[in-house]
Amino acid sequence: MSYLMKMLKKIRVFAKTSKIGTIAGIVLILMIFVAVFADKLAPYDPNEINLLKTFEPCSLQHIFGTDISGRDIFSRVIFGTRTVFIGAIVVVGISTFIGVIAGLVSGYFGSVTDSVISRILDVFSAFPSLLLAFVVVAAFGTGLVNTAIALSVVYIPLMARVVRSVTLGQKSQCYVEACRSLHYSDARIIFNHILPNCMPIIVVQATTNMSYSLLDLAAMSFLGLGVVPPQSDWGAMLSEGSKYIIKAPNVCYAAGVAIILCVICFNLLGDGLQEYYDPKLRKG
Amino acid sequence: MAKYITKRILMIIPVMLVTSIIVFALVKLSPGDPVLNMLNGKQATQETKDALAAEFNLDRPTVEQYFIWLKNALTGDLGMSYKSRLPVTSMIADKAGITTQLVLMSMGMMFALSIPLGIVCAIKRKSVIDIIGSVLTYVCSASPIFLTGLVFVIYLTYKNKWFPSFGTGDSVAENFRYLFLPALALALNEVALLSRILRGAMIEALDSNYIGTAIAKGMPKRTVYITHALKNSMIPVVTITGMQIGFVIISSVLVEQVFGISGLGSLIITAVKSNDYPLIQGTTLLLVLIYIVINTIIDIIYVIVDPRINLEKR
Repeated sequence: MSYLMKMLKKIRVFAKTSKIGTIAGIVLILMIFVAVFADKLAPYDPNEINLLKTFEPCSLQHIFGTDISGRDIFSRVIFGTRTVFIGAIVVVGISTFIGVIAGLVSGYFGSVTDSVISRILDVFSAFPSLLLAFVVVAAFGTGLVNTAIALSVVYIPLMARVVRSVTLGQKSQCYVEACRSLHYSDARIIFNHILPNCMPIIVVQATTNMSYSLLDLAAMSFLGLGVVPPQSDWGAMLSEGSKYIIKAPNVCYAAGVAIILCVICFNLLGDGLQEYYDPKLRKG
Repeated sequence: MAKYITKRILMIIPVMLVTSIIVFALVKLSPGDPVLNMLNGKQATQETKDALAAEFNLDRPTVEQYFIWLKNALTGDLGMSYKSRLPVTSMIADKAGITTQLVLMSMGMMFALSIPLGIVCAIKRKSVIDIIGSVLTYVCSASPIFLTGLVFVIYLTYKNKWFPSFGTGDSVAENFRYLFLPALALALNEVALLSRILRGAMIEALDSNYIGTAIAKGMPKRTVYITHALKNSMIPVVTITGMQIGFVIISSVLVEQVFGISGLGSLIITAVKSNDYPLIQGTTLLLVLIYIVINTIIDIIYVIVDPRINLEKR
């Protein structure tokens, strides 16, 4: 119970620090809600083809109209939320998990361990993000999972470098020395004592990575290397819609606005969190 | 200094070696027989298959294949494409020009848009211009490049016919018109980042004492802003630009797709979709090399421009 109260207090402070960030957070929570309850909220089956009703304009029956095969665009956008969030969470989840451990270990132990891990990360950051995904997809085939795993490898160095630099700073603090003199194990010092102090930067970086990975996943789908049709996905909708964009631009507009909204919210939330954790940035 | 530069240049070699192993291994690990893939579903006798395998060195052990490939790659021969049977090097050389022009134009636009914007937003901070500027750039940076491109296609090429919508022209000069919109779509994505960083650095510079002194001396405002404040604010902009070049190069794939330009990007995508492994390996290796070389150059410039940077820590 007291944990819940603490959480609520934190949220209240956050809301006071950054109003825009709070609004962005609320929008994102709504989106997650939409993603979870997509099958309850969508008025139509997103894959239901109705060739009598192609390219319908916006109306009460079809809020955003219908696409080339008569599928309801509104329902496809709603189901797309699910695909997009799953993809982005897989990318950020894997990259955060591995990146944080790599960063903590290389920052804490230093010397040879640090050099080895840093060189490995150098190699992965030598690939511009989409390029490694291209190669992986070429080797193992398209699909949401393959693309997401490939992209997460690219995001590991970003997270690891940030965590490493914070760990380097924390390592020389008195509390770490105190832990050492109490003969705590390295694992205990790293995970129970240093990790909590890295949390702010991890949360901020992960939020920013969410927006990058959303854009990268959309790009992969747009190029036809991401999700496999007919699965609803915003990037894939843009790719399909671009073929008849002059005739029916509403497919692209609906999916495009959804992507932009989502990315902006993650960016604003990231900025808000940074302000919250770093009081120096708070505006007077 | 010389020691640092040499060390930095030599660092390229191990990274490239490991990259080449990764690229080679990933492609080798992929399921599917390359010979069947080359035949494209056509029937062939065992002799033809063996001949094909021998032609592409596929009958040798994997490690040997890697060394043959690496040795050839070092002499500039990236092998033969499975599909078109043309040398990969010449296929890349054919397409590289247009992509280079696209990326350079886009970089030019990035600077042309973000530097004035950053300066104006910093000088007129919290004014209407600053707010409109940040909202617009925020939206542009959140919009996927291909979406920006599609919006351009609808409004500037179809409805208003100001620009040619697809493909490329015959000469470099003609391409300026064809590549204008693709380059702009590519640039707009980065403008937000660069102008924000410049704005932040400019504000810091404008608040510092030496600017106050310069203004108190009665120096013309323009000189103060451009020569004094801007010069000191450019270092973070240059760093970020260097970090973003790789991103711009790889994102050119997306605009090439939207605007039907056949450059390096569409070459990669076709290669990936048709499992043309030598072509994928060649283009990937080349792009990674370009990316690393540019980053190395930026690192070296950085040290020359700002001698305060501690070489040991980097």
